[in-house]
Amino acid sequence: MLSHKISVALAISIGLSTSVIAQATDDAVNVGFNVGGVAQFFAQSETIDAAQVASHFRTSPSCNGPCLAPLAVANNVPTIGEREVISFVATKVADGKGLLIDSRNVDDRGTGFISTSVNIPSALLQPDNPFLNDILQAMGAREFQGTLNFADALPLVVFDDGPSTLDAPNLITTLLNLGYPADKMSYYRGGMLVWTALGLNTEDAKS
Amino acid sequence: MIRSVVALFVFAVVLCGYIVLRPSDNGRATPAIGNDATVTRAQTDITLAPVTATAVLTNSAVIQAPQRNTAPGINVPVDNSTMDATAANVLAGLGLNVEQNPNAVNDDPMLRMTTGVLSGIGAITGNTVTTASPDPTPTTALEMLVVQALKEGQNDAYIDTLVNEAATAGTITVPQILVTSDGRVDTHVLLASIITQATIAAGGAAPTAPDRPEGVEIRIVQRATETQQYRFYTVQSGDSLGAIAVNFYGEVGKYKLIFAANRSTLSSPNNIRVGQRLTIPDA
Repeated sequence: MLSHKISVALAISIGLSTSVIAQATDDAVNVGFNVGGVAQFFAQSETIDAAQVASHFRTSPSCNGPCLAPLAVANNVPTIGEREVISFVATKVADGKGLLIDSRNVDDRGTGFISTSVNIPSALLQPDNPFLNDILQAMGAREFQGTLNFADALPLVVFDDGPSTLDAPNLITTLLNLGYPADKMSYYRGGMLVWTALGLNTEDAKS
Repeated sequence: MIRSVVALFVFAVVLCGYIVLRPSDNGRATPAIGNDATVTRAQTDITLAPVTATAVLTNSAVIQAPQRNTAPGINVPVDNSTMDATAANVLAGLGLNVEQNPNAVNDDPMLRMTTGVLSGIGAITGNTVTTASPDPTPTTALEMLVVQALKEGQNDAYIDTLVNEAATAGTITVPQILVTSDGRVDTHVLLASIITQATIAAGGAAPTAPDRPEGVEIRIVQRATETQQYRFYTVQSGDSLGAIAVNFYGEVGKYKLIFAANRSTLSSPNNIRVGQRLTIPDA
């Protein structure tokens, strides 16, 4: 009886381990892929740049003083970690089937960003931007007789400077209000603060 | 005898001395009062505290008691269209195709940022997306109304009446900066913008800022290290923000400078009131 249980547990664990992507080991991350014909990579360094990490601790313009982002932004919008971000980029973004969205303003993005991310400050998704529909359509929405259909909208992972800012939660809320489906969005709460604190590489040239 | 002569002489000297010195006494007394006044002002107005001397040069034409126009007037329906686009569309309706001023487009931060986002997304998805920048064509009711009137060769006064009647009836919406302080539509600025764009399209010179704008009030503030000049304008009856921009900068699009500098008192570009004192920043 006991041996039977053990064999079932073994079978489950073997099944799980094959379905997990190759990077899901205890090793440091080192992934290479092509995005739009440009070679990109994610690598984890053994040392971290404390000043760079500290530069991502900032207050969001949306809150007075420091604030803490909630763990979950909205119903059905999962909060994810670094491995999920990396696998999302390697499988979806690399194929042009998903977008990693940097929701910070342009100045904050200048301090460094995750490779392959696209900068969409939430100020751009406000109704007073006459080109709002152009952005939503670039994200995969289809306009039909004046209304937007999000059936083919691209899956998104949204991040900001980290748990001390609310740019990403605000952008996700804005997108939900515009009709973007919750199940097409994920929230990377760690943001730049945790990304850099883990020694993961960033870019700082304007993309 | 000698004593009385000496006494008279002394009296005369004292008298002369008094007469001679008196004006300079006055001269001294005046700045003293001025200083007192400055101190009082400094106590009541914190912003003037570091000011050592102020001189107000006021064009006599603008001296008038600020009067608040509480009567709401006609409620002109407004939209978010820009004057450049409106003028270009009207010209297109008249068969004149005007290239949108590329500088004006680049000045629009929303368009610039949107273009950046679209190229960023395009690099990921491989689909090139560009901002829909439709060719100018009259689309709004205002543009079609003006095109029709201009084709018929109507004069400015007729167009003014026509547009204002349509605005009152609510059949057209107008750009916010065309709403005047007494709740009318400033067709003068609208027609002037159309002519300006046509002139530029025909290779003419772009308008320049007038040397001496009408109704300007200049305040020069001297601080210890610098002299700063502030310009103000008091809104008159019939002014629109577009007209004020033309008056000061020569072009209607620069109303944004005035609007930005007066956000604390001006909720939206169509809400200017008679008697309102607007800060006019340098171009």
